[in-house]
Amino acid sequence: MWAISLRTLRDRWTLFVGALLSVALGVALVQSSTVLLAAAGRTHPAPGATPAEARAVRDTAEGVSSLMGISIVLAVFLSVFMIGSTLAFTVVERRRDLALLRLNGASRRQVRRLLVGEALVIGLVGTGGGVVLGLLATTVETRLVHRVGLDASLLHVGFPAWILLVDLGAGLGSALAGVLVASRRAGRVRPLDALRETGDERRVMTLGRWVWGLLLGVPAVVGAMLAQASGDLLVTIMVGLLVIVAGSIALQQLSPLVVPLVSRLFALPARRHVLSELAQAGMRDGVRRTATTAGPVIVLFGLVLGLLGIMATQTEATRVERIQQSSAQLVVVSDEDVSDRIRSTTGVAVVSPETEVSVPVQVRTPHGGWAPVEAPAVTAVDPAAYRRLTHQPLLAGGLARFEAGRAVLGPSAPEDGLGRPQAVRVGGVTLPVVARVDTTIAGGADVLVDRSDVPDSLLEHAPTTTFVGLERGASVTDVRQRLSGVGTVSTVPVWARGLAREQAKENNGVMAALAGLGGLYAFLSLVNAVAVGTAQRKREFAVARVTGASRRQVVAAAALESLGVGAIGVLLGSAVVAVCLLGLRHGIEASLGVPILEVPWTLGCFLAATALAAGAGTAAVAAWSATRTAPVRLVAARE
Amino acid sequence: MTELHPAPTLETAATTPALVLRDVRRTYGRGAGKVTALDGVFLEVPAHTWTAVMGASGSGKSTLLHVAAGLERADHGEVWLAGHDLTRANDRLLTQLRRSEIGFCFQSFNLMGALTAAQNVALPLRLGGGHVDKARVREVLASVGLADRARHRPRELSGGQQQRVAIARALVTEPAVLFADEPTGALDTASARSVLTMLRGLVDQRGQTIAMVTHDPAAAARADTVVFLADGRVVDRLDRPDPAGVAARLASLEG
Repeated sequence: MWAISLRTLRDRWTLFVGALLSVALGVALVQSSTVLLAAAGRTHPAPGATPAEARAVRDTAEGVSSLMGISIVLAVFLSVFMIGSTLAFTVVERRRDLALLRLNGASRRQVRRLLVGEALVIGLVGTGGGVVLGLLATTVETRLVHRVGLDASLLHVGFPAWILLVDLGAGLGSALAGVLVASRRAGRVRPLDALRETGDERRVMTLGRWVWGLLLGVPAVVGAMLAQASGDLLVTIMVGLLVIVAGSIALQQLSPLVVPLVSRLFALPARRHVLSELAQAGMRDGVRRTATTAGPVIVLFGLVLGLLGIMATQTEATRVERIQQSSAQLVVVSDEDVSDRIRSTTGVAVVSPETEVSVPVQVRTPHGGWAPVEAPAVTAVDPAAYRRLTHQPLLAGGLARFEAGRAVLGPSAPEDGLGRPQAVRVGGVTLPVVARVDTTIAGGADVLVDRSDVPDSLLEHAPTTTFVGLERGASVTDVRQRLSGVGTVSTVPVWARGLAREQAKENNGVMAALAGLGGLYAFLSLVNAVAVGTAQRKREFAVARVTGASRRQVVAAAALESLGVGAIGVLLGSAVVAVCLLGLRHGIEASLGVPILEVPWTLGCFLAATALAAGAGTAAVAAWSATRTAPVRLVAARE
Repeated sequence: MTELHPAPTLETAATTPALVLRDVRRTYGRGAGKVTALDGVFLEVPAHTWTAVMGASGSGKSTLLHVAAGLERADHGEVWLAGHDLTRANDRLLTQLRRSEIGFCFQSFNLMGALTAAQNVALPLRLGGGHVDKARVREVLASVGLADRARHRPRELSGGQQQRVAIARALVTEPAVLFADEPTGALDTASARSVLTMLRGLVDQRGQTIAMVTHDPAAAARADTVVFLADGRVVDRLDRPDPAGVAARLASLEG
């Protein structure tokens, strides 16, 4: 069967280009991510580094590790998914060839082996291409690490030989995993299919599609409903992500059911032009082809728009939250402690400075010992002023008892694993814990301490954010004027917006990369599905032309059909995004009391336009190519 | 005229027929769209003979061939080939039979475009497991007159040549029965004639059993027996046919 595998690949390589590219891309990403991951693992702070430098190095290593980890998982998953659907599609298009083999005495197992052989070759060739592409990918990913705010120059990036083994494993592994479904479908081809002209479009909704569609779809809907009920925002965001991924894939699996229903909606407004009728008929008749084309658009839309929508909504939520939790009128950001100068300014009533300090922290364990906290975020504040200007919900205790010699666990403490200790040791000084702040969307410190519990040297020339409360009747503009020389002065909303924007840049880099990855795969899959599907309709186009359609009309109808299918994909993808974002909005409303929904409209329109244009363009080109030969030759001859 | 006929009129003693169909029925569809393709067919194809099956379109002749060759399963009845009842055979047995006892050729040749003529011919042997006797492949290609075209791909061969390759492929495993579905339907007169002559030679010199479906009286007349199908049943039979006789019987059926 090997020789036949090779010959088939050589002869009908156009069918397999999509799968090949998917493998190459997957291997490239796995390679570059593994290289960077290994580098991060090898990177340690230099022995004589300051705590700040050490923290920077550790942050970079951690950040890169998690980013690359997610990237690898996503790359492998998407790779297998796209390869699987591409190969399964080619089986349908090659049914006649496979049936011929069966006719000549091939057993089902031999046909399955044929598919596996092809997948192995694709895996090998794709890995080769992927290794080369991976070198490029490493440069891109390093730049991405920079954009995220980490210092990539701290990493020691090398190219160890064992990476090639990883590449081979990823390439062959994803190809073989992807061919599982396709090979089983190939094995089910009957010898008689070689003689029948009509495509086997009967059972497009296989058991597998039902199972996956419901297995993922039901949790997605339930998840969306849960997100509405939950008050914990972090849970809401995680669930949002799951809803999008599961929902997009579920819709993709159920698309043979859903797409014809939705296409009927399009039938109503469309005028009775012959081309649109042809296009609709094609859409409805070629159910499998339509589903395979709409699928990637749904995933593209769902992943990209959904992820970015979550991020935008969350960023906006942090902005609102910060405003809600502060009753100050002004914020001063400075390079050193300027509380005295602010206090002496007319019109100022309350001055609440906050300075982040780098001191080691240990928490009291239940057994009575002390456990160190890794890379702790400690903020030194003035407890009395803090109480007056900052209002955050508490998990336990009360801020009334917060004073010198006491500590408060900040909003980031729960997720950083500090637990519920009775006391903490900050910079060697033991402080009993009097309160624990609830988690916030924006995050914050792990531990809050009184400024007097921290050596002055750490506070004098450290960057400080000072919240200012004004006397009753004082004019904000005037006080602002008077404080202008002290540092960067702004109102709380303006400050909050600035912070949100900074955070957005950091997060968007990550999400954009992940969304971009998924989008790229979906895009490839779309172009591939349209190209292959259209190319195989040669005879159908020939029949249309013999009946009187001009070549241009046939091409136009094909492009129109692709446009329609793309639009359906966009609609369904939007549905997934809507379900997820509405759930998030409700969750935020429960948390903050204000519903927040940020939809990246411009990106959405751009994506939709690109997907539609790509689909229609590919269809037009493929149809033009498929109508090259004189129609009569295809209609009369049977070979 | 649905009785079983005894062994044919050849010189050889009455041997077990190569192919027997007993009360074979096949319907398609359900309810209002139900179509009865075969409605109780009784047929015997004696070994080493050439039987042609004729009938108007819709008479069920293609279905008959498919069922006889194990490509489709009859709803009722028995199909005996090479000592096996095809109607009760599972997929593995059918696959094995396709490699050894059953050979097909069709109107549309059905060669694998990616393989050369020699590779197409060798395909059933390859699929049967392992070693291909190259000499045998050459011999079979030579017997259909295409020894010099072994390395050519189907698209480089004429229609007649492609059909010969298809027949060679069907014969390479020395099947008990060669099934031919309109073998000359896509060929010009000259090619058709040479293919039919070749088939005749295979029967006379090598004792090959052939079951052929055709609509062409001239093609049917080259066979030893012509069986006529109408409405899913065998309704007439003509031994030692001639073209005029066949045409006349066919016309009387349609009339």
